[in-house]
Amino acid sequence: MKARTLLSAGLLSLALLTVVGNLAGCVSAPQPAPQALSSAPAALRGDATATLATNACEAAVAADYTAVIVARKQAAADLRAGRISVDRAQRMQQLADQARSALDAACPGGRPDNRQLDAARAAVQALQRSR
Amino acid sequence: MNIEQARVLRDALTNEIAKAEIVGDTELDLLQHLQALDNEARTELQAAIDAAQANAAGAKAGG
Repeated sequence: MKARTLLSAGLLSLALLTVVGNLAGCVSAPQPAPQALSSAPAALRGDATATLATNACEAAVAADYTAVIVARKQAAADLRAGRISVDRAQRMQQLADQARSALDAACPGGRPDNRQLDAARAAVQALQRSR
Repeated sequence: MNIEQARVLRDALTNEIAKAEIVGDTELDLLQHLQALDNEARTELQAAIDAAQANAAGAKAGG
């Protein structure tokens, strides 16, 4: 009887330790670091913006259009403030034009053209690096 | 996407939703609006470039 009581107490303790251990594991489990949307895989980015756009192709390019718009506006503000040279501003305008042309051609008939999407993203990245 | 890009996208969506509600549309033409915004941004940057070049030319002429 005493042995059975001890065994039961031991099993109960073991169960409690397991529960506590699992809880501690949950609390201390490393959280994934926040990931920039622009660094996410293309498919994920499409999913992330799908709720904001009206079709899959818009979802794929909306963020890239936005990046081009912001880059142009920032370049204009930087040039007016004397933070960048005219040459750099002109280069950014050219890169933005390249990105825009590729983006405009990226959704023929509402369906994504992956070659144009890749070209557009390369131009957007070059534009962002040129700042 | 950084916060500034998110703001541009949010504003574009807000404008498109408002326009769609006025005319009773149930679909948004987001790309058309983003293209119009980029046209404006391009014009703004080109104006800044032209002004900077004019200033530089004026400074050079003025000695």
